[in-house]
Amino acid sequence: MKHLILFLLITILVFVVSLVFPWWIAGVICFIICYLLKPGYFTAFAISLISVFLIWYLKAYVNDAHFDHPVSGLLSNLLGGIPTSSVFFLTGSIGGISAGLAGLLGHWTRKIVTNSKI
Amino acid sequence: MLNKIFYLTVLTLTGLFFLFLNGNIQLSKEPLPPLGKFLNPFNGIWTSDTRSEKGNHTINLQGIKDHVEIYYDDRHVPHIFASNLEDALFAQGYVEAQNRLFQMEFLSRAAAGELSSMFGSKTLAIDLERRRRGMKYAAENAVKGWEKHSEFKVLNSFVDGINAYISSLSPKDYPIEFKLFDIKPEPWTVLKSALIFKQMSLTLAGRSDDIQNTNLLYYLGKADFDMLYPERQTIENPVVPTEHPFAFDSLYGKHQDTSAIYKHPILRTNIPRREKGVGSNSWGLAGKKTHSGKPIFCNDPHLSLGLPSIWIEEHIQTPDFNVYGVSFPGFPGIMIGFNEYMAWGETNVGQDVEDLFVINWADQQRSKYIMDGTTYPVDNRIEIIKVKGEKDYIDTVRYTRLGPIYYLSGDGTNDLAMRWICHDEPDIPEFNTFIQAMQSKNATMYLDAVKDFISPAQNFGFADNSGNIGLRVNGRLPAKYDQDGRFIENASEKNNWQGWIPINQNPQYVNPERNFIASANQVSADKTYPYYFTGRFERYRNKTINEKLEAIDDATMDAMKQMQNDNYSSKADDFVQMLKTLVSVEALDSHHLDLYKSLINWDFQYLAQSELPTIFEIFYDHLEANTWDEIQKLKDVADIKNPEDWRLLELILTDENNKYFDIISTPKKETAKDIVILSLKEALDEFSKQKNENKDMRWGAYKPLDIYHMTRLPALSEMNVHANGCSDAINATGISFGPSWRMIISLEDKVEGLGVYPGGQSGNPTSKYYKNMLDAWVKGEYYHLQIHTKKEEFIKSATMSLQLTPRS
Repeated sequence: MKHLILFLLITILVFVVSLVFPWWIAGVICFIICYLLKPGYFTAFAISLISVFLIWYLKAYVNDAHFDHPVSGLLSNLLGGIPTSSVFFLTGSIGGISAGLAGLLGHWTRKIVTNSKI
Repeated sequence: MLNKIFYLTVLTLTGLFFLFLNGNIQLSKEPLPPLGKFLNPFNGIWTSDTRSEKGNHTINLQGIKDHVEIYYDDRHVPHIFASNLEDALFAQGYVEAQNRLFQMEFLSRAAAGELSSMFGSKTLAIDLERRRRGMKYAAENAVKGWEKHSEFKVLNSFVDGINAYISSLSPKDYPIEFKLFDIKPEPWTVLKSALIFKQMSLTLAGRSDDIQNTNLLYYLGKADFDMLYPERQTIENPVVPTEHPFAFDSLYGKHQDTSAIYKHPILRTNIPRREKGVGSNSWGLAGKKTHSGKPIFCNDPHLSLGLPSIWIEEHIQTPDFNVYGVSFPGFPGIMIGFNEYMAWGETNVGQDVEDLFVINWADQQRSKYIMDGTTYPVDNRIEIIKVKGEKDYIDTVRYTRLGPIYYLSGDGTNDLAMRWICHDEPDIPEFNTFIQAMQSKNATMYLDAVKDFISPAQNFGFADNSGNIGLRVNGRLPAKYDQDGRFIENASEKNNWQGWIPINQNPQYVNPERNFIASANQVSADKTYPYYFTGRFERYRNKTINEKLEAIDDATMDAMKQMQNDNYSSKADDFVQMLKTLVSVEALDSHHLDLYKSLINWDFQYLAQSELPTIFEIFYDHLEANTWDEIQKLKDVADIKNPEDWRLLELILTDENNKYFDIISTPKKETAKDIVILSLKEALDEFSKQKNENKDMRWGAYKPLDIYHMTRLPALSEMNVHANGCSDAINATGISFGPSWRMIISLEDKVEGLGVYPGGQSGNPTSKYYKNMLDAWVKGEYYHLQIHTKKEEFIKSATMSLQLTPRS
């Protein structure tokens, strides 16, 4: 349950705030939430990663499906002809990994600040 | 303690990872897009869609006086309805930015020598060349001159239109390339429009053979140089035909002083030499030669073919004019087009307007130089080139009375100053040329409208529906004394340009007796023209065009379509006729006979599906290599050029024992005939060998056309297009250049127009309008240019509409 709340909180906040702020705001939000809600280090990393991976993957997928002329094909050409599906995966991964690292750091920063053992 | 070190390490690494994803850190010399920013689905590449090409939009704007309506048709051509000229130009700027913003940004940066700020150090050499050439200096001077004219405000309307579009963009709306190279659109300025104008001048008037000629004169000696590189062609079809005598003398008198010609080689410079093939065709037929009894006007400029295309098609209507045609994105007016009364177009003039002079330095620091006995200081212009991912590159360009020091030799003995027409501050409102031209209602108005054009000088051709046709070699032509500017000379005012040929003495004519006008980059006038004319002039296309126009009668627009798409090469014809006279079948091996017979029975059409053009081109390459071996071996030490193709043929036919036919590496003394037979055998062997290796030897596949995006990224380009044509045919399609806009206008009471270009209106690589016209262009098909369609029709069929309303 706690995990689900963390997941929903990150997902909703990242989605809403990303509509206005630059790309790195996803990392900032994961950092702050993991700092404040004190999940375990693995949870902080994994839930941040999964939430933002899904947001980036699905948002890219939905945008592309709504275009008259999808950019996924162009992007796969630009990236040396990788399969179109892996373009979405790459997008999700960039968002997910950066957010996962930020969430993990949020967890650790809390520990450092409160002088607990990492 | 250990905890903290571990924590700080991870914190630092994560920080660096974020900076990398944001583009602040580059891991390689080849700049990568900032992956985080770029792939972000909220405002990265995933938001660069084509929604802006649909729907009805009302936009409140400052800077317009009245309501402007813009309707896009099914080819995404904007039809602009405005109530006055300023608003029309504002709207022109707006739609050009809407469709071609990155192209405009790229071109202005390319001209200014600022590409490295986008692409890193790999474009530094190009930027450095632009800085030493003084491109930005030229554009700044242009703006300085333009500002002094009252018409300048129209240019501001255009710039305001571009900025109105730019300021409507949020980062998520930036075109794909801005995201790819992580740049922001900068506010547009008149200077940027001037840079785009100078970039076009560079393409068309930024070349000279001074270095090659000087090197060749030194190595070959005067007798051989004159024999191999005659200044004028033996047979010429000047733009202004011989039957129009020039009833005036040069204002500057006649004079020749060859003592200042530089007597030393300049050696290898690595200065880029512009591609052969940039040129254009244009012709006009008087009513006596057409089916309708009214003139027909045709134009197809051969420029570098790229994506997006260098042209954008536009239709602009106000209560005072109704014009349709193409424009350079970033510069106002319609360059090639038509209105309800007349049609106009341009082809390049090959007159040399870029000369190099050796500077005699007065000190080792190269801060002072001596010219005509006086010592002058140089003006230093500090050029700071921003290089993405690296520190700025700083260069100092020295400016002399003649122009910038374009080439710096190691020891300062061969430093060259460039006198280039584009550096001069214009004293006439040249920016207004195409804005005035598009409003002209007849030949007289048009000739007056375009008289202020300076550079690149063009053959401005026109026809009107009162029945007039005409042409003027239009632009400033420097008055030079004989041989000045053909070679590098010692810097001196005596050998510099003496002034300008007055515009009424430029070669020109209206309603000629032969009932047609034509220009295809050949020499402008015959030898009776009282001013010295030198440069690079075309030999073959113009001959084919003139012969066809002489013969044509009862011409229709369909006949003009066929003519613009004609693939006959008179060069190939001339050389194969020579083969027929020199080569006997016995001289060839039996396995070559079939190929040879098909070659000599060829109709000289460069068709994509035919292998015969390939055989001929391989033969010609071997013929040049075998003949000019003496000259080619100089290539390792100095900039040189081969003699022209027509001169090679003349020598084969008239001077069989010329020493240049001897191959230096063989003990035998070869003659022209030996060389021709040898080259033919080598070519037939090479062709058979490649064909046996299963290589597709059809012309279209052998020399495919690559239409590159400006950034040369293959994903944004259209590669390997198999098209008919060659640079010597009217359909002058080469490897990367060709007819960039084919236009045919019939000047009937109700003017009708056809046109096509190899690309599409949108600069967005994901748009369906990015290259939608390419297929039609390859097939030689045209679109009807809708100048007469009523506004109500456009409203009904519009794929997108924009209502620009003034903000109160």
